Amino acid sequence: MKIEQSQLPPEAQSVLKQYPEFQIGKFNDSGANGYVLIGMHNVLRKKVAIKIYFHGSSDMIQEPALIAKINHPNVLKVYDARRLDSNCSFFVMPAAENGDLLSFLERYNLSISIAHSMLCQLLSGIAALHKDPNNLVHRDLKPANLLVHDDSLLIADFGSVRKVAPDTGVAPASKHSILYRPPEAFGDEAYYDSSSDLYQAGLIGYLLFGGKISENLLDHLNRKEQSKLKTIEATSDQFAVAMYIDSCLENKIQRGRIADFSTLPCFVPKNIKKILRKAILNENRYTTTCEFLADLNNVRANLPEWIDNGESLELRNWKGKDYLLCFEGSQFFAKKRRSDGKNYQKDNSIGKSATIEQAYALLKEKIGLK
Amino acid sequence: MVVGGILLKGNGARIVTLSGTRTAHTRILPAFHKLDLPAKPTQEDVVAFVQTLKAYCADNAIDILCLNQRTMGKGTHAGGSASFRNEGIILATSPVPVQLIHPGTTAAAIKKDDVDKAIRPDTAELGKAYDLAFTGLP
Repeated sequence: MKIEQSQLPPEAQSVLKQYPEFQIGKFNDSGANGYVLIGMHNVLRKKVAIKIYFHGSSDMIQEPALIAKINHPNVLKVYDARRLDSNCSFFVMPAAENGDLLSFLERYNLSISIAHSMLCQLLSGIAALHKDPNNLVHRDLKPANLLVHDDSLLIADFGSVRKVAPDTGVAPASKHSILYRPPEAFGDEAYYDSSSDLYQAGLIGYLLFGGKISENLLDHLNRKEQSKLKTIEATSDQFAVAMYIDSCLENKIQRGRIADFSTLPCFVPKNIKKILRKAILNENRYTTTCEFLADLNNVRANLPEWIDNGESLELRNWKGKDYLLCFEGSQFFAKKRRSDGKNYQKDNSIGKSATIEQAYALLKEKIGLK
Repeated sequence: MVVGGILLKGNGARIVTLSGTRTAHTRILPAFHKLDLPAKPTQEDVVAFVQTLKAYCADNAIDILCLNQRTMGKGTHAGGSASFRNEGIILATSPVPVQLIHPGTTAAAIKKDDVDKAIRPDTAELGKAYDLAFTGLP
């Protein structure tokens, strides 16, 4: 669908005037602090995205400068950056074919190996940020700030990035995205360090492997909190309501309850769950990306290649066979085929089950999954 | 100076990281001591291994990696195909210089400057990785 330029915000129109070699294809205004134009760069002959963002007139425009410093396959590159006026700038970057991770995870279920690979890529990009002399912490790693291009994950949105103090290794805490904020980023002595980025990476890993965290903040309140919220809504202003919701979420995060591991699919191996749990601990979590990556790397061997394909659970190429757990006539049962075969046959040696968890347990025992 | 001593044996790499000099050094990041690659690695397995190695060098500002030297013949330090493959992967992808250290060189370094027995790991393989890192220290 052709975009009518006159209907775009004035800043986007100015960018298009300044950038005649850019041919707009898509306009996105869902971001909190600006717009994104996606289209074709006719000189580079590449699909590019232009991010337009607002800032204070005295603010240093740090975002493109920070990205330009880092040369890593999992950190977004910047092709060009310009100031539009005193409080608005834009920069040009490669367009991600599959959009952000949040929408990607809404559209697709990932197989174990793709989830593992994406988490490793994320950690690899984080290592490039943390590396001396960059010494940067992102402070706002969440699915909406990560882009997916083919099967590659790119760290984007550097608006919250800060350099850590060389003597303490910490940066001031960020007030971004409360759901992904680590426990140490709350309170009067809030701070942020490299392990805080790894906490957020752990939460993203939990989502990549199929865990669920509702983006609706009210979903995180228990019954008691919801009932108290109704009283506050009736008697106080919006600010008090927001403060109460934030305090409930802070409490949940401090108790380490933001990720509910029971929402992970039953097929996620125990050793992966153990790593993810360690990554989001309040204390004694991973402090360096390499420790996190080493643990992930060391469990890679013999990871079963499960995928939830919506209607059934599929295990690919396990000792030369593919397995399918599917639902029919109010019961779950297993099917199998040779890995290079075409049609699945019912596996009667694995009995029928009332739940997918039971069917999985039976199959697991039969084929020797850990 | 920060040196990563890597003992390649079979499918695994045992790692000890030392910072300082031969006469005054400390062991850093003791939790990171093992890196494995499956016996029949896929491309993704190798990518994950390389990502971990690169992150290790970046996180700890490693100046040099010291690997046990292998021989193509039937010498005392001959290795199998897995360590040969792992050595190639590290040589090809390491973001920092890699030094291959002959067992004789390690023995000479230990003889010349005494190792710090309080820091040297007790397990045989990590002990050897420590010796490699120690040899690489100035």
